[in-house]
Order: sequence, then C-alpha cells, then structure tokens
Amino acid sequence: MIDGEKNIIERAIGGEASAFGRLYDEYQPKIYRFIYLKVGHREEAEDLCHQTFISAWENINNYRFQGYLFSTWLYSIARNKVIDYYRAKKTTVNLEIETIKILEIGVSNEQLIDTRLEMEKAKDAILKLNSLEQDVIIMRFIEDLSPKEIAKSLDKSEVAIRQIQHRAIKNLKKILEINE
Amino acid sequence: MEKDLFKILKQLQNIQPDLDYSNQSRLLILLKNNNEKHRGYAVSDVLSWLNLHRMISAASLISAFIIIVFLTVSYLPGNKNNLVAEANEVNSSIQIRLDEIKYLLENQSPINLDQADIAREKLELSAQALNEANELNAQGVEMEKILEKIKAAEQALNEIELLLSQ
Repeated sequence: MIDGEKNIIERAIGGEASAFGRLYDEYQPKIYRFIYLKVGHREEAEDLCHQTFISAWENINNYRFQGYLFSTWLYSIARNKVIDYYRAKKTTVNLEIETIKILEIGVSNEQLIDTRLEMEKAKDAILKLNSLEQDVIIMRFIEDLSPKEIAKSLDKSEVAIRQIQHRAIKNLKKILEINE
Repeated sequence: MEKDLFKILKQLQNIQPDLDYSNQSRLLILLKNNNEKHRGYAVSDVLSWLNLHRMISAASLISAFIIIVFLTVSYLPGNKNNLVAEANEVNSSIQIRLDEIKYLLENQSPINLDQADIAREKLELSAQALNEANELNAQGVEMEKILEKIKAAEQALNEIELLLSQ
C-alpha cells in the first residue's frame, strides 16, 4: 500500500492524472503478473493489463474506499478482462513457453537455469488450474494478499477462499508431480 | 514439498512487465483522460468567443467545433507502438493549440470579418481531418494514414493560432 493511499485515490477520483499515475506505478506490475500467469502470453497480458488500467481510470468515480487495498478493486477488473478474453477467444489457449525474465544479479548461470526452469514449471502448472484456483494461488502466495482481501476482490467469503486455497495447493502439487 | 512449492511460487514475483511497454501504456492512459477533459469545454470556448465578437455565423462555427473529435488512439501490441505514441503526441499538441486559441480569443481585441472567415475555414478543415482520423481509427486502418490526418488537423490549428496572434 502506498503511503497516503486514500488521499491519492481521492485526488485521482477528482481527475488528477498524476495521482492515478502513482497508483499505476505501484500496482501495474502486480496486475500485469496476475494477468500474465492467467493467460500465459506476454503480448496478450500487456494488452489486457493496459485495458484494465483504462477501465480503472474511466471508472475511478465508482471506486469506494472501504479500508481495502486499491489493488483488490484492480484485481477484480483484471479478472473480468481475462474472463472476457477467454470468452472472445473460444479457441485453444496458447500455452507456448516464453522465457521468464528474472533478476540475474549475483546468481550463477546454473542457479539461474534452475530457477528459470522451476518458474516455467510453476507457471505452466498454474495455467492448468481452474480460474478461481489460479486467482487464489496468485493473490495469496505470489502477491501476499490476505484471505480477507482476496475474499473482497473475488466477492466470496473468507471461508470459501480458504477452501479454494486448500484445493488449489493440492491440485498444483498433483500437476507438478505429474510433470516431474 | 509444500515448502518448496511456496518458495517457487514466491519466485514468480520476479516476473516484471517490459519497461518500455509500461511507460507507453501509462502515457496513453493518462493522455486519454486529458482528451476527455478538453472535450468538455471546446463548445463553451466557442460560445464565449461568439459573445465577444458576434461577427460570424454562430451556427457554422458551433458545428465545426462540435464535430472536432479528440482522438485517443488505442494501444496496439506489436510494432506500431511508435506511431501510436506519435499520434497521441500530436493529439496532445492539438489540445495545447486549442488552449492557446482559447486564450487568444478571450484576451485579444475583436478580430475583423476576413480573419474570422479564415479562422472558421481552418477550423472546419481541422474538424474534418480529425473526424476522418477518428473514422479511420475505428475501421482499424493503418496508423500512417491516421497520423497524416491528425497532423493535418494540427497544422490547421497552428495556422489559426498564428492568425489570431498577429
């Protein structure tokens, strides 16, 4: 959360582009990652992420600050964009493996290859989960959102989120074991 | 296994969007809002001008301003991004020109009938070019042609600004 986030959001609601720019800087990498892990393709993720922030900017007047992170609202917009994307596509999802860019500072080549392979495997395994399980895994274990925040973003109860989380981990392990 | 799994998932935090893409997307999103804000006062600018000068046909000038369409060219994945950025840059420049024209109209002494006719003509040219650009954009026509139209609109507005500042 950005310091003084509530104030920044209010300024953005008032039409101050630089305030929205700050929210973009803070949350765009997270939203991009969320979308990328759900569509598995860089260019599609870029396009959907761009659309997500356009929608957020156009509809920021509808945002109500309720003590939750601004990102929970952005995740729900991004989620709808991904749903629309798959609905419109109606073809086989492109699961082509793209090289994930990672920070390479202070890491040996061997370590780098291992890390990259692990990440690729995890990325592909996430793509095989159902949409809700993907959401919970990404938000909870990659983006560190609390079950309460995830519940808010997905419009579900905390109990339901914990159940989905349990099921998602089980399925993810199974997929990774099969792919070993 | 579970511990490893969480560790691997955490590593996915290293996935980052491309910096150029992020900067460009940010610029386009924030420009979009500026366009919409400007659309709101274009007509009132003309009305205040008409109140001040009352020397040319109100109907024709109003219609010219109303059909001025402020474009927001959409972000297109792929290699056209430079052209999209350029189109949006020119579009921003158009807004600056309009700000300047508005300022000149509000702060200058009344212009003569000939100047008003020329200004109206150029305004119509600019409106027409922007309208055509908007249609081409909606049809998904190649960006070079859209850019050409936007530049023509900018040129016409430059000429009005020059005329008014004489």
